[in-house]
Amino acid sequence: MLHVIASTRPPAGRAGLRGQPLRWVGTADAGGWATVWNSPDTRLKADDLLDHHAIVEAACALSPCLPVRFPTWVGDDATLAGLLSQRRADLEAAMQRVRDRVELAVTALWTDPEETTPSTPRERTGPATPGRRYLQERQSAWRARAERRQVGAAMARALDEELNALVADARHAVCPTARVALSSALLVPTGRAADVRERIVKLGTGWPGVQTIVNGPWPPYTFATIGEDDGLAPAP
Amino acid sequence: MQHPSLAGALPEGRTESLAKALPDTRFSLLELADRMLSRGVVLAGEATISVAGVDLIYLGLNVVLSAVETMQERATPVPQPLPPQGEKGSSGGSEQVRSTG
Repeated sequence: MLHVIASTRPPAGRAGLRGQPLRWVGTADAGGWATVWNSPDTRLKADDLLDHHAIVEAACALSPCLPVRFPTWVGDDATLAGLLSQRRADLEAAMQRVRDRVELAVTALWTDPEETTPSTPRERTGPATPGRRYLQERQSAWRARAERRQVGAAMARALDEELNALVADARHAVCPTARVALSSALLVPTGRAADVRERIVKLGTGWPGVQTIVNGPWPPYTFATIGEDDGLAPAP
Repeated sequence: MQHPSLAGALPEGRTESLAKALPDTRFSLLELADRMLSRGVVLAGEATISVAGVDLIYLGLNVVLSAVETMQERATPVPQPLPPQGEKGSSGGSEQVRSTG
């Protein structure tokens, strides 16, 4: 199982998942940290996920790194070496992009998760037949969603404006679920993470109707993208 | 020492760095899990990598846990290997915007 692509080999004695060997496959410039999976049990558990994170963190503490999506299985060393070789230029470019940077996650949760009646309800006339009531409810819900999306988008813009000089890259998902107003990933210089975090917390306290949570810093999972998988849709 | 708010959310013996990165609640742990499961380098375009024509375990792109909210409903995030011919998931159709500072 492949965990991370880095420019440094794992330290001697570092174990992979479930105490299995952790192998380096690559060249002098870059390679993958991979657990040699000897166990017949491939059913993954939460502990495996957290141990994967620990391995990724260890690699990122030593050199620029690209976390690999979990779980990524590769058949053997030769297959992995081939994959790394094919994408070498993309991988090097991505590693430069995340060098000396970490990821912060910002999540704004609605304190009232229900999509309630919009703030400017239209006047209702005529008899409230079942069909009419249904359509009015649909219209009301649609308007509430639209208002929430506007609020979420405004938060994203506020983040960009506040952190413009400090953030190398930012990716925002506006209202990705009914509970979440905004989910953002920020790529920030390692040495500025605490400062950025503090600014976000301060900014978030001024947003009514949401609870703002800042997580991280952690390895640049969101920004470890290559080639056609290079992240989310561009800004309109 | 484990952060008090993570009591019960993090398995015993987890690192201090993890507790520092996840200051709030179980929600934070689940968000990190979401990152690991739905982000990161995808080396191969195909959902499965095969050896000698035999598919290995499905990579589980966004299928296992597709959103923080979904994850929050689960006691612990336990990714399950899926059949090789499983369908690709999506991120839920949310509006995704990228900007560069």
